[in-house]
Amino acid sequence: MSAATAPARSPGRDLRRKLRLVVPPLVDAGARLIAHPRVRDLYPEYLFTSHCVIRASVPLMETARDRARAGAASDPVCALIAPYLEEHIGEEADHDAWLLDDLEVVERPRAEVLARPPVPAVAALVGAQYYWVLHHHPVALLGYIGLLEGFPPSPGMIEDLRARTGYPADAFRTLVAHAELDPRHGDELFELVDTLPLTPEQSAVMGLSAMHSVQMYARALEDVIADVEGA
Amino acid sequence: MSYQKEGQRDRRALEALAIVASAIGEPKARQRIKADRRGGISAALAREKREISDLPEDVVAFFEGLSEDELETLGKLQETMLAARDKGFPSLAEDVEVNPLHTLAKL
Repeated sequence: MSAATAPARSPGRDLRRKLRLVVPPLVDAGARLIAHPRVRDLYPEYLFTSHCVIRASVPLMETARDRARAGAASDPVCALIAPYLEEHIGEEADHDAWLLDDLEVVERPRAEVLARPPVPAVAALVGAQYYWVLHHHPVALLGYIGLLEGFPPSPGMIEDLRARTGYPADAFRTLVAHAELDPRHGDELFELVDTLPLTPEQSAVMGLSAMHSVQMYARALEDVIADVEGA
Repeated sequence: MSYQKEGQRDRRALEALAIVASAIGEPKARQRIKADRRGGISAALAREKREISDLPEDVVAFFEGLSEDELETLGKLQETMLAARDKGFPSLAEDVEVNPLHTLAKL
């Protein structure tokens, strides 16, 4: 193929493709959780795991924003992602509090949730992001955000969960909000990635972050299922 | 291009993609692809009587753009990729029919 007809590079499309290639285990884990005969027991545990992830979202983005600001003068990628993160921090603020409200509905008091140690799979999921952001480059976090906002729960999944668990609609407010908000947030993220003058190394660490996140989130959901089955 | 021909092309693209994904899961084939992306992909496809031209050019470019670390990670996710093929999950070729994927993951 000649250079004239070579397809234009699209880092956002490439990130979506990397995610599509590896996301099936996470889709499967979610489907297994929803179809499980003990889904009523699983749902509060899933909400707890989800809270462990979401409580870290704003602090993680603040860390990445600060790193990006510090490098912005000499790094065009940092200069572009810092304002994106600043805006997105505002959009994700208080979502952890929403989840605590949902957890109260399924009889998990917030004091109990906040006192409970987060599970290792979530520490591995979120902790890896801190490592990449602090010790390599804040662009890594976009792989994580691409996963968490690029494949949101569908309204049908949430309705299925509600019907199968028998919990009231108030126990699903955070899921419903994310089903509504995340498609736009996901599009914005991939559009941003398309504008970034990424080096091969920056593109690679974003891809690795995305792939690692799929593995760890799927493991966290599988642990939820295994723990309830073993109880 | 007629609808029928377009469907045949998409099917060949999906089959070619599954072959490449499977090859990335095999250590020897993965090493060859790491050393020479286009040559390794062509060799993997030739073993199954397919050609690199069965893949959309931008999908080939996508594989060419993967780092060695990303290829290694993908290789370790062989089961993932085989499951993706067996369960009819969406392909990398965006001109092939894509079903939306939904998870329980949230930021």
